[in-house]
Amino acid sequence: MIQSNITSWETKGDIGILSISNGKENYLTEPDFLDLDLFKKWISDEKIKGLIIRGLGRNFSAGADIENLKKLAEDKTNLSGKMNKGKEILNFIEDLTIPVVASINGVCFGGGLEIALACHMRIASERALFAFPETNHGLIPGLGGNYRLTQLLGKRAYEFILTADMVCAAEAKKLGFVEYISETKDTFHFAMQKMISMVSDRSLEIIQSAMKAINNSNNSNREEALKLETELFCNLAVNVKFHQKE
Amino acid sequence: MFKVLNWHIEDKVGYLEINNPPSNPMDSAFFEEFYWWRTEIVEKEDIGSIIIHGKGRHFSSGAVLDDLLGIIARSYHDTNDIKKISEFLNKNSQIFFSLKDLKIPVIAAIRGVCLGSALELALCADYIICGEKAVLGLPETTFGLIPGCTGTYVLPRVVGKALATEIILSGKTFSPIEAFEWEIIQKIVPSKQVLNKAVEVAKKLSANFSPELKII
Repeated sequence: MIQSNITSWETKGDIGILSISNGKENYLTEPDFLDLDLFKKWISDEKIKGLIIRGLGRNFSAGADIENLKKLAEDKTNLSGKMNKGKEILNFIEDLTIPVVASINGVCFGGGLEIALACHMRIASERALFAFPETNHGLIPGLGGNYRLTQLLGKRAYEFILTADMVCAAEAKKLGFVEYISETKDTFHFAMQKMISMVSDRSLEIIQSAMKAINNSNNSNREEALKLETELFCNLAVNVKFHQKE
Repeated sequence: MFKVLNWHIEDKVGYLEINNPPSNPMDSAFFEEFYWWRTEIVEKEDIGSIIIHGKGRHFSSGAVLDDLLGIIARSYHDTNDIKKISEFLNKNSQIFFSLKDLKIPVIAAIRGVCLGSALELALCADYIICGEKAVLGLPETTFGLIPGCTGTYVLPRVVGKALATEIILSGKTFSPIEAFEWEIIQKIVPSKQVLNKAVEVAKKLSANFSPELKII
């Protein structure tokens, strides 16, 4: 297991698990919640086929610790640097060419929700709670959450962000930013099963090809997007044919 | 006019039937004829809508793998250049997607199996109507490939990244009920009524057609 800032990560079989661990609420003390270089190295070294992000204990993450954020804000350049690093981490997670699933227990607020939104799929426990409380504190989500939620919900995102209202898992699913509510008490186990159904018996190459193409689907240039898909397809097809000959 | 495709017009509705029963596989002849139909024929006709369907009990089992892999392997052997092969094959995707450039609604009427490239073709239509017993899926990753005919681009735009990732990576088939819940298809009807209901939909849509329907 590797420790970095308030996170740790480990590999179980082909699947990587990133755990947020910072007291009971898993506060994100600082926006750059892990060492990106270390994390990148681990992802490529371990050749994992999927990544699950969870909060250790009863909560995913309650987001930023407001008192600490106020302290950080005293030095504007420093804060802005840290925010950019946080964004870089989430962009990296979102662009990963393996599926990334958030396994969400308890509270998932602010920065915690921003991490969850950077994942490709969100699985929540029945009793999970979601909110962007930033506007209550004179702020807005700062790690790409406005953008990502609007991508998922369209204009319905405005109300959720501006009211700062808390919603339960069922409401989050209905709104459309939670894909599954765990059918068992053990959300992490359910997320693991879901991940296994997607990546077991698939080579890393197939997974990466599929995810590259899917990640590219928001490319508004459809000709380019379709070209990439065909190229990825052909690269795999050549191998399939060679294997059949052998 | 064609071998694998039947094209006829009745009452301003154009019917494109995949005629290679029982499972109506999409072989190289299909792709050639489809290309010809799309580029040379369909836009010259006086029609208000198009229905794509399969002859007999099935829509289509999708691309014929041996045909496709054969073409790719042969040209790879000749040219050793993936980019060239890919340029050639990319025509199939572009032509599927170009259903979205037509000014009239396209309805996919699905009975029985609709797998792989066949589902990709249906996803490029504007409205999908399914028989109760239809079987849908993108099984490509279960045999070492990925969807290669618009699926990885269109499906995430229709159902979102999360569900598209799951459908594509798991490769599992799914039912019309699931597809309806995910908003991949728009209507489920008893299998025997698929074509009749598709005609009703086609006429209604062509009467009140808005180009926004084409946007995904």
